[in-house]
Amino acid sequence: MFMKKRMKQVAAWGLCVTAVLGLAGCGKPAGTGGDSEPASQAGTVAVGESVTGEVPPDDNAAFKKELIIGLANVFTTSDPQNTSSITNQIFYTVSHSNLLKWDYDSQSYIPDLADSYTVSDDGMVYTFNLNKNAYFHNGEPVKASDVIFTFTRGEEFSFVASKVQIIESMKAIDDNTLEITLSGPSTGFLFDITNPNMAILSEKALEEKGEEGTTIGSGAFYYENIDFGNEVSMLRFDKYFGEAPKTEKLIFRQYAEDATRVIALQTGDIDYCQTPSTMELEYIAEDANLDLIQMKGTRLNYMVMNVSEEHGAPFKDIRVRQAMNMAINKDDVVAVAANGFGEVQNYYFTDISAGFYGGMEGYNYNVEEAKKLLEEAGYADGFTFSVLCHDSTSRAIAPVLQAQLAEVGITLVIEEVETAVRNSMIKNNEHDACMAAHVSLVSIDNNLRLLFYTNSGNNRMKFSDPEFDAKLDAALIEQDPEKRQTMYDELQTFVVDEALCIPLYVETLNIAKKTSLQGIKLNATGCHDFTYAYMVEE
Amino acid sequence: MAASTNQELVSKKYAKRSQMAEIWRNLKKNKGAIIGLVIVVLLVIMAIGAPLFLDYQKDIVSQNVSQRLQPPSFQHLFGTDHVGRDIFARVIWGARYSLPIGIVAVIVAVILGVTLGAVAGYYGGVVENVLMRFGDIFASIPHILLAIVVVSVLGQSTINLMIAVGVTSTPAFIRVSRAAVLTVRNQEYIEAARAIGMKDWQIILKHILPNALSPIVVQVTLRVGSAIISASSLCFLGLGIPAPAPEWGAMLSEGRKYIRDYSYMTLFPGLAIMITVLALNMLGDGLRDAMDPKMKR
Amino acid sequence: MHRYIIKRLLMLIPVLICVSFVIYFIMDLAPGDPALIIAGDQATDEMIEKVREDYGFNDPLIIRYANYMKGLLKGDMGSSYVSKKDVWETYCQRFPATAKLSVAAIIVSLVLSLILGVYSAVNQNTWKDNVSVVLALLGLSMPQFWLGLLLIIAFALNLGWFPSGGDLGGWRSLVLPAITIGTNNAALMTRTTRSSMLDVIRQDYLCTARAKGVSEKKVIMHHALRNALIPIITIAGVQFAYILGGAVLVETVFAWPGVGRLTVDSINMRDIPMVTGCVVITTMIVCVVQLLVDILYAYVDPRIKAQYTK
Repeated sequence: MFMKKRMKQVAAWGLCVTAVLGLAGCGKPAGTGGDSEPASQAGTVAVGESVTGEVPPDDNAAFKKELIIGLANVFTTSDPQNTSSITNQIFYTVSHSNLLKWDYDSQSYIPDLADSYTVSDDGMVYTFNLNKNAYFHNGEPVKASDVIFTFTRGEEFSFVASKVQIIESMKAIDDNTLEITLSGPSTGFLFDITNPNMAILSEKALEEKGEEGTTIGSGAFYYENIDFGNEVSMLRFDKYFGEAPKTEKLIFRQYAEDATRVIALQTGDIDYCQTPSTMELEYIAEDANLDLIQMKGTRLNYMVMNVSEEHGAPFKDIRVRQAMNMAINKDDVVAVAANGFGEVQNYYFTDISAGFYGGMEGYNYNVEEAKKLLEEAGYADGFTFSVLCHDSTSRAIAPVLQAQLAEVGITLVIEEVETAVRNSMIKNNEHDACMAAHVSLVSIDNNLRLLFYTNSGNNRMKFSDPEFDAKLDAALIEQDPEKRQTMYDELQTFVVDEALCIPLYVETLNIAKKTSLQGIKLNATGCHDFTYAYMVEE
Repeated sequence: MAASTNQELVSKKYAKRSQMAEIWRNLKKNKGAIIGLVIVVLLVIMAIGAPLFLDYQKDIVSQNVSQRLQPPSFQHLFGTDHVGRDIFARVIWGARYSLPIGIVAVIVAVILGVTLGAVAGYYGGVVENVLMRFGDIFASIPHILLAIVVVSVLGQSTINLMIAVGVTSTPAFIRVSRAAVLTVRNQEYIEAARAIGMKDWQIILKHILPNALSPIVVQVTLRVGSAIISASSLCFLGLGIPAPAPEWGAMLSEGRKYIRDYSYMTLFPGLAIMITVLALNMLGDGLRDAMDPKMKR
Repeated sequence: MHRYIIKRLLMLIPVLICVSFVIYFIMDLAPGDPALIIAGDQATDEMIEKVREDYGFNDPLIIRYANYMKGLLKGDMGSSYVSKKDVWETYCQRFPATAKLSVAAIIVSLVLSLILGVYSAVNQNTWKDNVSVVLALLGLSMPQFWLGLLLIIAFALNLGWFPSGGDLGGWRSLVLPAITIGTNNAALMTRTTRSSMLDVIRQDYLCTARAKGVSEKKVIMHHALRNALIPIITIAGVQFAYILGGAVLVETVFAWPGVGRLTVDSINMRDIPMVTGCVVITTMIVCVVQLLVDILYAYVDPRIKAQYTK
């Protein structure tokens, strides 16, 4: 379509944070993000200077006091434990601290609240030494007891519960030393505690202020004013234990209307624009004052078919599902729904997942074959089903699928519902099909388990196969890495062959900002870190 | 008024046909109203006649991605949209959605509103008080919020959209019809009807409502326009008619993503809404003037 | 008069009960389980059940509503399911922006409609009359979100005169949203101005004024308009009340932090206390504004005041 020099293709492979999704039973992932993927392979490529802030500003440069970030989505809650929304997590990244952080550049854990940690030989006991200079925004020092309090509180919240259930016991040896004993060895545990859901809360603040106390973190910025669904302002926290940010104030403002948000960036009302409309990238690329950064995303859009026994025909029949897969011209879907900014895909996960396998063929566009399969399945005249659409992406995709399926005689009825309704319907198995998106998680086990394990939260296909479940459980405890990988390869091939969903495309992640805005730590999931973002005052 | 020729004076003595004739005569003098009327008639013809020239499957919903986002040309008068559908055909066909939405919504409102209003006006007393308070309460909930709540509850579909918009226009009809009923309630012919033993509902239906007709007609004309606008607002909030129906509001809100580069995607459905609402309002204003004795100067 | 005001204020109580019940009830009927939203989509069945217990979703509707009303009568509107913040506080945080925008919008409407209405009345039945009426109708005929976007593109992006959105303080960020709403409401007010001017314009005292040699301009501005103002004020009051509650579209397009957006967001999240609270407070405000208009009306027109004191 258009390629501008200024457009920085950052293939940076921001490892996906487990951010998005927690998950039940992730006892022992098959390896954490870092250890199996050599960085060179994914290409630590041409990361633009503005991205990592590799060109440090002058020592005596003056910095703009406040930055305004234009968001597309709503900030809904100040409680890090009670949400999995990426937009919410952008805030916690700035306002709260975790025990450890995952560094995408070096592919390693770096200290956050914990200066250092040790692991016992059997991999069951973790000892964290907390930073003595760490304070909460209410002035209280961060103590080991706060961590215990936080993780205990988390048992009530689904997103945290899945991560803390492996914890057998926690003990504060002194105020700054914490000992966590797991019920079994786990390589996934450390990665889980870097998740924004696991941000450390202040016990005292919660006791004093109730829910309101969740706003108190130990991050680089504290909340000045929160107006949910509109604007949140944050001020630099002077007692922050880490390096002090260059900016004094961060303002996050929601511009729900896509067109307005990009215009606000162009007119200079905001410094950063979350998810610019793909139709308007050209304006950003052309503008000398603006930067467009594009990176490969991790979010796959796909269509779910309800394959459960109870729901029955037509999707119970694999031939129908295969025909559906073959009737879709994914290139057209990307062209229309994402204006070409996406990568067509025949499988479910992306190569940021450790243990990813993409060797399977999948199903390619083939209308003749699709018609034949339908005929064999007894649907020569097609059938009618409805698909739940709940957000703008699904509303953009569904009409294209509708037109393409009509070619093979299948009538797709678009059922526009609000997210709340959609989730209830899926929960109660009342849907024929729905549009969905999956952000690839770090470990392939998490991915497979979340989407395909019987009764898992995101198993919207309502797929249930005891044999698959057993194989997945077996792979999890398999000690031989090679054998384990073969097992995962097979399972990944299996779910693609079964044609449980129609994988469509992975969205390109577009970042639009003023050229002078530097120091944002980008993340392929979209949960960018604004802590050290700054603009040099001209 | 200068028009009081002998002939007219004579015709005034006769029943309602001449009343209609007079309204028509007044209306004819109002150029705006006539233009409005002509446009409305044309739109209705367009809506009814569309299937004679267009095929819903082929011309309206089938996509052709290779032809997407074509600017207006002889081949595609209004250009093509983001999936390559001809916008001209869709706008024409859209009349089959937008007009019925407006009209049915208002019919819903008329049925509810006029019934409640007439009952309130006719019986008076406690019934009136309760009904009118109820109407006031309904009227004080902001329309758009009420419509959003109703659509959220009923689910998104064309019918539900009509109901939601209809419900929100109801209070206006309660007020208008009650006021109209009040003016005729105590007249002698009503008492006469009662005296000969007519039932209440017969009296309301046969004798009272016909007299209240003109303000209701004016309201209907004006409200159809605002119902079309409300429907498009709901589309904007993602609560409108599901794709691929070429409802104007839906096209307009779908096209807004492309408003900067391909403004024709919003321009034509937008103009269609604008012209329709404008025409209905001009006609409604004209009718109001034509029916209002105060305006005869 | 005082008795009338007190009576009207007392009327607010049934309004409050009715509206809160209707909204609470409707929201409860709405598909979509709030417990699922609160618990998150990875919640186990036990967690969802616990949320239901904690929030009392298992109680029958009437009991939940009764509990809600108990709180409401004590002045506690509950707190949001989603943000956990107090409903009243959240509303108050948003209200100033809405009020500011409504005032600005009604000023735009008044100015536009007075100009167009008087102009068309003075030139009744000429082409000038027709053109002004059509002009007034244009704002009404355009869907507001479309007009808003066009204004942003023209005046924020291309000309750079006004900010593209958000309440940035100062008057500049008010201009575009106020025009969008104002032109929309101008049609009805122009219509009223025109017909009430027509009522007044040929009355005897104006002839007297003209006969005395007062200039036509002065006759219109001083004598006619002043007397035509009453119905205009009434309709402006009603319009003002509506803008206060229903500027959802403009708030969305202009990223304006008003109560309309708050309400719609809450509806989408099935945040029942927030939705009910927002609609109840908005309705109350609408009623109070209407009462104020009636009082103002009475002051302007002694004949009406006399009616109330009866």
